[in-house]
Amino acid sequence: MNNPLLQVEGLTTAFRAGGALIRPVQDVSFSVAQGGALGIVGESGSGKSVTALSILRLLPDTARIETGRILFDGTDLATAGMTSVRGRDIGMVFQEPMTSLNPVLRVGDQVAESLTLHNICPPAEARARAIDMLRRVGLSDPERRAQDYPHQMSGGMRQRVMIAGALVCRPRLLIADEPTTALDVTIQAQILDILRRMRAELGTAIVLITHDLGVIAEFVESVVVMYAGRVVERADVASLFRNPGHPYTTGLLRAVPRLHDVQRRLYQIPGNVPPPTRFPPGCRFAPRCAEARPICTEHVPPEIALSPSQSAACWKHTGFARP
Amino acid sequence: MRHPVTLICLAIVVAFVAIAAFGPLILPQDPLAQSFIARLKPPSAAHWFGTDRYGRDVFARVLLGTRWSLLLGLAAPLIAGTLGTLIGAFAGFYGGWFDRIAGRVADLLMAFPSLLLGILLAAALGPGFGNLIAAVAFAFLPRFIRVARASTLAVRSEPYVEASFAAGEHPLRIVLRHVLPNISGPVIVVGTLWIATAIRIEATLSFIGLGVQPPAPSWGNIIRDGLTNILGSPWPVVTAGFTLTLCVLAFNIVGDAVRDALDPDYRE
Repeated sequence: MNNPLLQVEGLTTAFRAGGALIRPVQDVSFSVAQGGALGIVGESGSGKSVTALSILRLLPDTARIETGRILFDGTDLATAGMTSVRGRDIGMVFQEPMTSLNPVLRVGDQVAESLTLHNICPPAEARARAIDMLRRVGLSDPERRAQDYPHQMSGGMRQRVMIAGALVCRPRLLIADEPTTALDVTIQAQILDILRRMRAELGTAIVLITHDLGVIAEFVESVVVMYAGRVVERADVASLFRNPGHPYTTGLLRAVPRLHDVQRRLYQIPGNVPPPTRFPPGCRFAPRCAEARPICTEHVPPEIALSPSQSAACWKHTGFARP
Repeated sequence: MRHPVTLICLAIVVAFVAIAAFGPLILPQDPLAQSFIARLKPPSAAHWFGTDRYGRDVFARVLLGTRWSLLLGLAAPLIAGTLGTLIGAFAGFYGGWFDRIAGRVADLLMAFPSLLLGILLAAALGPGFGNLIAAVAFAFLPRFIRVARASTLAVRSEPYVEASFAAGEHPLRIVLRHVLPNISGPVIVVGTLWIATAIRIEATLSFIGLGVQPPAPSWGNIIRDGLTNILGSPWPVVTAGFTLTLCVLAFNIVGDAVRDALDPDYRE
C-alpha cells in the first residue's frame, strides 16, 4: 500500500476553447494500489473522462496537462514513452463498444494486435493468446468467433472483445471508462462479472469510471467523487454509502432509485453541472447545495479528513469557518 | 448491381479489358499495313470497320487502340488514387501545416477542369504515352486528395482510432492499418467514376496530337485522322467514335453501380 501502482497528484488539464482557457479537471489527486480497484463517480461533465485521457495522454491537440504529476509504479508518465505504456502496462476500455472496433478487421486480429505491437510474442502465439483471452471473457466458441468481423457481434460481445483486447497484454492497470453504460442491464452485470473475474485471475488493478453508484457499490474498494472538475470526496466504499461526507455525495445517493418505497418521487439534485467556462468561485457545488452558507461561494473548501479512509472538501466539516 | 443494363455494361467492360489484353494477339490484319488499292472503303467482310485514307484496316487499328485507351484509363486513376489517397489520408490524420498546404494546392488544382490541366501538362511535358499518363494522373490528383482527406477526418474521430491510440499503436501504423482500409470505399468509388473520364481525356489529347503519336493507333488519333477525309469516308470516325462512346458509357454505368454498392449515401 505504501507503493501505489498509480498516483495522480494535483492534475490540472486545460483546454483551449475559442480564446479562453478552460480547466475541466483541476487539482485532482488520487492513487490506486497494486491490484486495487478505484471508482471515479460523478455526473456527466464532472471531468471523469478527461482525467482518464490525461493519464494515458490521449488528450486532443487543444488540451494540455498544466500542472500535476502522474506516477505509474514510481515512473513519471510525462517522461515515459507513452506508446510502450499504452496497451502494455495500462489497458483502456471505452464506453462505445459498437464503434470501438475497426469494422474492417477480424476481431481475433484486433485482440492479438497489441501483443505483436509490443513485441510480446510472435504472431502465431499472439493468435493463440487472443483466442484464450476471448474464451476468458466468456465468448463461446472463441476459435470461430475470432474470425468474425465486429458487425457480426452484439454490443455485449463487442465489449467483451474490447476487454479481451485491453487485457491481452496482462497490463497492471485497466482504465474502464463507463464500460457498461451503453449496454443492457443484464449484459452490464455480465461485463462487471468478467471484469471482477479478470481482476482476480490476472491481478490487474482497475480504475472504473462511472456515474452508476450501484456499479461502484459492488465493484470497487475506494471511491473518488468528482464534481465540476474537482474531487469533492474520497472514501472507502463502505463509509461513502453509510456516511457520505459531502452534500453532493449525499445528493447522488438519494437520487438512486430503491426497490422498496416505490411511491416516493425520485430525488433529484436541482440544477445542472456548470460547463467549464462558467465554474463558480468558491465551492463549485455551492449554487446547487441546500446546506450552502456565504463562505461556500467565496472560498474553495479544503479537503478535511473525516477518518483515515475518508475525506471531503466541504466547509460544513469546519463549522463553516476558515481554519 | 443486379440491373440488366448494369450487367450488360459489365460484360462490355470485361470485353474491352479482354480486347486490350489479348486483342493484339488476334489482330485480323496489320494495323499499320497501307494499301493504295483499298483506300477509304466502307465496312466489308475483309474490313469490318472499313479502311482509312492510307488503306489501313480500321478494325485492327481500333482493336490496338483499345490497349492505349484502357491502359491510360486504368493507370491514371490508379496512380492518382494511390498518391492522392496517401497525401489526403496523412493530411487529414495529422492536420497542421501539411494539411493546409495539401488542401490549398488541391483547391487550386480543382479550379482547373481536368481536361485543361491535362492539356497543359501534356503540352509542357511533350508528347509520349508516359507523359500522357503523368499528365492525366496529376490532373486527377486533387480529387482523390479531397475525398481521402474528408473520409479520413470522419474515420479519425471514430472511437476505434482512439482505442488504437490507447492500445499503444504508433500513429503511422494507425493510418496504414485502420484509416486506409476504412476510407477505401469512397476512394474506390471515385476511382471507378474517373476511369471513363480518363479514357475520354486520352482520346481528346490524342485527337489534338498531344497523346498517342501516329502511326501508332489510338481512338483519338483515328478519329482525328478520319476527320480530314470525313467526306470521302465517314467510317473511321463513326466506328472509332462509336467504340469510344460505348466504352465510356459502359465504364460510367459500371462506376455508378460500384458507387451504389459501396456508398451508403447513394443507396436507394
